[in-house]
Amino acid sequence: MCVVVVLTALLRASSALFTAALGALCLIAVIEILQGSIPALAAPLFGGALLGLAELSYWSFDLRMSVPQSSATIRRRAGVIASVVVVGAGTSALLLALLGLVGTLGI
Amino acid sequence: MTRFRSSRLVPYSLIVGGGIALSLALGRVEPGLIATPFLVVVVVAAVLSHSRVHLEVRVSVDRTKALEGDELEFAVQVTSRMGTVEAAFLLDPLPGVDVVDQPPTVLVAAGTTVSTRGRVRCRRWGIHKIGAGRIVARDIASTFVYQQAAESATAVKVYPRPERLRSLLRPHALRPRFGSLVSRAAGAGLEFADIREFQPGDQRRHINWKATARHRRIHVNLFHPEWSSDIVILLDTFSDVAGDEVSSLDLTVRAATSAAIACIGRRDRIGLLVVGREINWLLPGLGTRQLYQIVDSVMQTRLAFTYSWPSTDAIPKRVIPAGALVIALTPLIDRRMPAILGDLLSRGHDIAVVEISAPAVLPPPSNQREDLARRLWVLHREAQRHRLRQIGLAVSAWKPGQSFQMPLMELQRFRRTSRRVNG
Repeated sequence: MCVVVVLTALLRASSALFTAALGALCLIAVIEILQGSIPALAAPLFGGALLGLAELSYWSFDLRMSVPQSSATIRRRAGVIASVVVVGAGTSALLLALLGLVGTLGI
Repeated sequence: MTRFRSSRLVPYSLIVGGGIALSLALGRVEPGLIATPFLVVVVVAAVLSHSRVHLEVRVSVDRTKALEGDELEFAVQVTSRMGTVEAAFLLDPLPGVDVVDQPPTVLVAAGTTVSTRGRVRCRRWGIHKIGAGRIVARDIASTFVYQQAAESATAVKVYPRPERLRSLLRPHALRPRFGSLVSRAAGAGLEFADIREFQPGDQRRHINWKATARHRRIHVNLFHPEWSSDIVILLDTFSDVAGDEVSSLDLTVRAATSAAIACIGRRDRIGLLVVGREINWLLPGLGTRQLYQIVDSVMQTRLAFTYSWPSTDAIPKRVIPAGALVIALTPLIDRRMPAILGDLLSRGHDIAVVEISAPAVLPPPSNQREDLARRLWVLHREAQRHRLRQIGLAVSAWKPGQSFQMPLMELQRFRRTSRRVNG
């Protein structure tokens, strides 16, 4: 259902609809992890994937509203999105590892 | 520069806040872990919110004169005094100018100047100020958007695209100055006119030796001299009928420019008389300089809505010299124009009226009521045209898409016939 809403938002270039769908997707991911359908170790990956989806979608809205972009700016923006996703997922994974370490050591 | 927050920062902050709140409420780390990547973007935005951006924009156009339909290239130079940004220039929409290519977004590092190029098409004649717009810049993570107006604009003169006319109207009276029109009078010229007996004062080189030998008396050849004329273009700016693609004023300006170029090519003196809110004129003159003056004056022609009734008494005699042909370009909508034409005719001026066909400019009627109104209007115009013809004015309609040569040929035919009847 959420995927359909996301696709509709992207087709209609509706930022508000996409924001609602993104919130719903985050909530579904949290519920699935809390219910145990998805292992907790996958949480950083889910977070990174959701951020990647959000960044690419907002970029597509920008592209539709503004002027054409040169290949250099497209490469740079794609690089920035990839970096943010990797750093975000990495930070989340690091946090998970630290929390696991803390739990193991019983600090 | 005006700074705006990116639209995605609010949902990201809500996701981060919700994740942390759920983690604390449930005592589980997973919601917080899902929100952490979004937290990275929010932290980056918080860091970048302290940075400042200062841009300078300069817009230049490759030329300042163009013809209708020409494409112009404009260059945008963006200098960043502070901050590295991704900058895009958005040209303000202009009536009569279409943006063909928007200049692409460029990356401008701090302390550098980068230029980008775009293209516009000049759709309509006139003086357009190209270059005003706004610069939209984004920081490296696109978390903040900066906007600044670019005021520098270059005035570009877009001339109407003239039509090449094969022939223009021939005035009833010619000016005894060298030109391209063959006079009916006899004198010094190139066109052979007649043979007559030698008279004292005739030049020896004009002796026709064959005729002399045959008649045993000296005979000379006579020639028609090539003279020029005075032409005054009269523009009606009382009203304008604008269709989807073209207006009657556009057609008037195009016709005036085409006629002016043809007159100058024929070595005629040409003048301009613009009748509207006030009466403006350019005295008849010769040469390319006069052509540019006429075209520049025509381009400044604007619709002048007024209730006043201008009097032809205000027109100095020098504006319409004796024997000059007045070519009136009018949509024949305002009732003041036929009165002015009648007044000029009663003063003995030679007048030809090109009626810019206003009904043909408008889109077709969309319903029966409009259709009926249009038919009544066309009939009313037909009656007005008939009244003008009755007082001796040659009137010919010119429709958009038609060559301007066609109404001129029709007028010439009418004038030839009317001369024969009168004379």
